[in-house]
Amino acid sequence: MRALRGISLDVRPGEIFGFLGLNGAGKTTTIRILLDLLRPSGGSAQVFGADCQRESRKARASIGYLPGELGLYADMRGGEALALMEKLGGRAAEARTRDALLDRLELARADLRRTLREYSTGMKRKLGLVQALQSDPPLAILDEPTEGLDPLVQRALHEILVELRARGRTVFMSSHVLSEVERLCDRIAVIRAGEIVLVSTVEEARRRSGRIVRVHHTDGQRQEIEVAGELGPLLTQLKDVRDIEIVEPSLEDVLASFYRS
Amino acid sequence: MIATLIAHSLRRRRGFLATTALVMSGFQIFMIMAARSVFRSGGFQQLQALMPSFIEQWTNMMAASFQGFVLFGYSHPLVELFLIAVVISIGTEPVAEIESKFVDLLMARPVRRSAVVARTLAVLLAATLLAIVSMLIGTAIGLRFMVPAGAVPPPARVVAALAVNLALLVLAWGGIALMFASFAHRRATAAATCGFLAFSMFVLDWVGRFWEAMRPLSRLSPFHYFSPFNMIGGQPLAVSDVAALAGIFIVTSIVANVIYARRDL
Repeated sequence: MRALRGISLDVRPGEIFGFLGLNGAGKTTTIRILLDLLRPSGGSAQVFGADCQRESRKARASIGYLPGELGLYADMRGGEALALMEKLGGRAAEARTRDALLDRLELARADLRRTLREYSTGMKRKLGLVQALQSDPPLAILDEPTEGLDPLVQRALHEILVELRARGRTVFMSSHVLSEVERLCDRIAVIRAGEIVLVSTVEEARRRSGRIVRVHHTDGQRQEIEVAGELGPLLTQLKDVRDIEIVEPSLEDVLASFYRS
Repeated sequence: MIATLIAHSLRRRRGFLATTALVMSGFQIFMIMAARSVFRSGGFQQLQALMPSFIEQWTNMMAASFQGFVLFGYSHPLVELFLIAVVISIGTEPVAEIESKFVDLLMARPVRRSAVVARTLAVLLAATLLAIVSMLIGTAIGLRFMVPAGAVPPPARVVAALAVNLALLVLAWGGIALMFASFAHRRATAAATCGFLAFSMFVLDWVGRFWEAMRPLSRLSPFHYFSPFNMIGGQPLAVSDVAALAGIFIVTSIVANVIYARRDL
């Protein structure tokens, strides 16, 4: 069974890139290939010019990774986990950076002394984010970063990601939360059944999808027309118009068409 | 980086390793206490009188003397199987990390895959060394304080030879467990398969000792190269046994490294 087919994707330095798709579409498989956890049967992937298979250590040295499921041992303490991940990363984490992340993500110092067995889902997610970002990696790969976080912490994370981008860091994130994708991502890619079906900015994606034009006629009748492209030709043909409503498609509607098509 | 991985693995197992050390040293002390009790009650003479001649020959009178009884602590099936269970648990760590997804975090760092295998080998060596040294300490303590008057304690060179042979046997099984772990998808599968194989090989070795026709086949068993009764009878540790067990450890470690480097995690 082929998990991915002919994927071609280019993430630019300094952008937040959203990687979207339904469950089982191939998002995590793609990420696992970038990390050399999976060996593809063909093709290649590079991170900052380093081949993910042949020079995987060089590639991984510039990555901070938040997996979908944080596979840390339940008997580890939060602080222990952060220290271990920092040592293995080969990039020293500045105490100031780590402390700032802990504060902004609302993970208390006392929590770091507790074992992960005592952590809630949200706390584990926060710890996962801190371990991924504490060494200020040039590329952050985040698998569903806001899952399990409360709205305030989600907002704090969004601010952190925007700041990372401002400092030239690259963020590659998968997400199901379209409002967050819309707010954060410079570009998005949609993967469906192992194939990339869309790579564009959010605006471009919207433009590709038709707008709904609701025409209210003077005789009380109402018409709904889906228009892809310019509205001019339609407007010249309309007669006896009392009012016109133009409904922009939501990102959800746009993506749903790509997920299903 | 390997040092970090080794330290992490040892820290996680500190309770388990401390328990192993206590059990192994305690068992040796218990064996010496039991030998002292039998010696004082004159039980060894009775045992010698009752023992069939083929057992006498085969065990080199091991069970019928104070020193033989003490040395039995290094070849007792419970000791062998317990230590093998310990190294199966340690050797299957790489597949446990895959199953728990800890490997996703580990390998997202610039860690070589060979470092994961090397870490497990180092922990296997450390655990085996700890267990064997604990046994030797238990024996030393027991012999220091519990040798009854008139009893002959076992010579140190025989104890050392038995300990080395046992350590190599345990390491060989550790290597086999690591090899299973390098391609398995679940720890339970790797550990159960390895455990079943160890038990089968243990039985095969015993069958080969008693049944001439099975002797050639029993050479396949790593237990065949653990010869405590020969050493108790005064023979030195056989170089061929050392070579065979060390060979199993080295070959299985290399195979594990090659498979783990190529697999999907």
